[in-house]
Amino acid sequence: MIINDRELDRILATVQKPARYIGGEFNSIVKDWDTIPTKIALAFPEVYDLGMSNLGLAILYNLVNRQPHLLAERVFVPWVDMARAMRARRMPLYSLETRHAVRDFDLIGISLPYEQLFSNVLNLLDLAQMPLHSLERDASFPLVLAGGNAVFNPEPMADFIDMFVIGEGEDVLLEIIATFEDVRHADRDTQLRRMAQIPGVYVPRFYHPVYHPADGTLMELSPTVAGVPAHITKRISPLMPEPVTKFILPHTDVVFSRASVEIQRGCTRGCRFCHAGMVFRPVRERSLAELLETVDAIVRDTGHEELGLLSLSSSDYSQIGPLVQAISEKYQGAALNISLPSLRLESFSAELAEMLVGRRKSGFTFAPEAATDRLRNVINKPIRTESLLEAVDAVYQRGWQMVKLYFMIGQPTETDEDVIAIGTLAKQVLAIGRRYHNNKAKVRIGVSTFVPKPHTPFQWASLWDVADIERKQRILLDEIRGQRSILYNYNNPEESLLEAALSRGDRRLGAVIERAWELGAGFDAWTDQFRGSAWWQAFDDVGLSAAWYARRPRLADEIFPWDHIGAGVEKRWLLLDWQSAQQGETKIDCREHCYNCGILSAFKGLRAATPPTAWKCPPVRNPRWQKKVEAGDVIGLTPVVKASMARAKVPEI
Amino acid sequence: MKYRLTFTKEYPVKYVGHMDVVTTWTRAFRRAGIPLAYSQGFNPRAKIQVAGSLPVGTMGSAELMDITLTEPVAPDDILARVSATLPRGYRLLAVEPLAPGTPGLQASLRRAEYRVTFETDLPADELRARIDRLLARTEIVQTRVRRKRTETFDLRPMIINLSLVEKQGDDAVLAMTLSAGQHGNVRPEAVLTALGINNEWYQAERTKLVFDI
Repeated sequence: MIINDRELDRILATVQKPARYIGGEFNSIVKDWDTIPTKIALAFPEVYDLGMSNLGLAILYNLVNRQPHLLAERVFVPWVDMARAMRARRMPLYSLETRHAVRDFDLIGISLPYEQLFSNVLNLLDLAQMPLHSLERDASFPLVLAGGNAVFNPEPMADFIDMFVIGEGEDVLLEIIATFEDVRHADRDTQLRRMAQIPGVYVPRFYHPVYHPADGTLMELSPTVAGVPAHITKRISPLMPEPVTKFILPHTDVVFSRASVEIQRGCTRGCRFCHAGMVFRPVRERSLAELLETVDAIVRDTGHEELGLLSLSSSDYSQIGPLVQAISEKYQGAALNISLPSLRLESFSAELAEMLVGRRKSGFTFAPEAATDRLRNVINKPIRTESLLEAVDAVYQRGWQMVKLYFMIGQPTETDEDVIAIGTLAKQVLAIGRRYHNNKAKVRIGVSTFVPKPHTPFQWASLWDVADIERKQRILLDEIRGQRSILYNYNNPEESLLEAALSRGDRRLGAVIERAWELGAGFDAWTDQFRGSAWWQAFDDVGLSAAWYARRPRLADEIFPWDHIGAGVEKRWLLLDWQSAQQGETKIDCREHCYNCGILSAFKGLRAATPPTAWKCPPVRNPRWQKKVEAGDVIGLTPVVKASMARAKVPEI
Repeated sequence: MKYRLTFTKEYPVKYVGHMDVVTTWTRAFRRAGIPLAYSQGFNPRAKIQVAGSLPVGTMGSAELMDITLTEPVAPDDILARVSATLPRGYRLLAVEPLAPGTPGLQASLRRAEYRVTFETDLPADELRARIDRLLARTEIVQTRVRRKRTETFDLRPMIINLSLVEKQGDDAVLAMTLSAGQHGNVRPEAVLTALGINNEWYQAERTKLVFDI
């Protein structure tokens, strides 16, 4: 089914920002539907304005469309007004390139980088006029796959998705499509049994979870059919994949309107809260020559005014100095803004950034994450306050009037002193700014709530109680009250509670997600759309507790719903690192010293087949840091955390 | 060096808003290697001026845009290079150099001609009769929302010409010449409303911009 112009006109006349729904952008790829045998819809379960900023989608779109016999088209979730209008007219969700109904595709690949998108996946399936449940869709429906960072714990979405792709999609997507072409005419179960043979693919219908009757935790999650793996290890590209240069230029002003290129993938810093830092190992760099060629090609192919050099820790790119210098020399006066996010807290960062910006010095962002030396040791982001202040000094001195600092509250072992220290630090930073800019100096502190994530050393940690987070937000506010040059942003702790419950949830949460969606949840990443009441009612209706998932203390030997999914970093290693965190022991950059996290043993063969310098892992040394952990211990909880748990009366399921 | 460009805005980009149209063209010029001049200051902008911002949803078949370049480029060269890199829905029809001192587009815009297609089961005679009755009136008071305020205005002096072009099947086509620019600006929808046509589907196309020279 194709949506025709006049039918679309009738609807678009009634909605906001209709340009989101029309396609035809420069660099979008329109292939001949009738002569291409295999078609995939690449869906980002958010509105166009947000989805179009996603680099992963752009990479897969170009990867598939480079194959002459394949076609990939984009699908986003229409905003609330458009969704209402489409439902009223029974218009199915359609792709932007050729306006075919999503149902007409062979496969739908859904990108799930974060948990707030789960409810929108149901929106997407429903608007596509497809049954929500995987088991209710036979082979006449497209095969629904999902990948991205959030599927490192796929269980909460297991009811809705036919197969999950664990790890880096560019390495496996073409293999999946080729397998589909092989089993195109088979029934859905047969198709999925073949898919389950592909390394990195997880087909949840072939696995069954069993829970402890006593406490509701997972007892086991194992295959129910022969020939599917008990453990699924992620896929990785051994080298950086080919960069995208022909970025689709959105018709409307999108959230991050820029072209971007990854300078490296992965991070060796080992921050204990950081999901990306754990699941994107090992670190792979793009060569300086390739980066410079790519920047030239992007400018030529897009005419973009904004270009982002992406990585989890830009300062760690080995050629960062030469890169920035070459780009700034070449593009001086070309009305090109180049952004370099994730700079380390050091004076050199100000030098780097200054080389890149022309006139615009809007604000300089650092992410110390915690305000005391002690807590930064716990989270393994060991920067000393004095170096932090030196870095800030360099930034103000070079002309920036605003410094933005990102923090998290609610981290393990945190005390009120750590929270108050955020305010104290903000005032110290402002005092430095005033030396250079008098009353024009500003500090913006963005304070989010720490959410424990699976596959990180903090996966055993508890989320703080909502009331306690609100109290911490207030004492910080008291600390900076009356300071008009300190701007303070913080998030709604209820959103953090939901994120925490979903990110470490199990398969039973499928019913909660479905109920919440029925009650109106959707676009949960938008503060004005987030409906806490729908979610809490959904938990009640299903008979589960968000707090149980988010806040219960987890024992060292607890089986987690994501234990059968391998990110390469071993659980045993994460547990030891969690214990080190309690003692405030830090680990240095693992390019300098290998802590044997497990990534090299998981990908031994791949490493051997890859040039030895391509990964930034040094040789493994004798791991003298290993310590014994007693099974059954509530690992290393400090007295403070224990006390707060007792106060909070974390409910049992 | 200034140049005046004539271009179209068709399906599907008729849904793209005025500011985003400027962004689209800026990037096309950059891809084509056309040396755009930029404003000085904190947030440099390309010197591009588009005449009479076209409402979202309305097509244009002879839209005008003035651009300033840092060095001269042959008009045919601009036409060829930019045409090669335009997204679907835009076409560049003509490029001419502007003599120094030519007044800006926005200040001298006076009228615009439209072709409006809509679905109707009214016969052609009835449509002609309604047009005649409308044009015979001395005042047509309508309300519109402007800058979040509802105001009333007289539509009649803003209708310069109005006629039925054809009626084929369910589709009727009207030709209109309406006031445009700083001294009074009105959209073709206002005329449809005055004719008692409240269709959910219609298609307006601006076919000509008329300037006071």
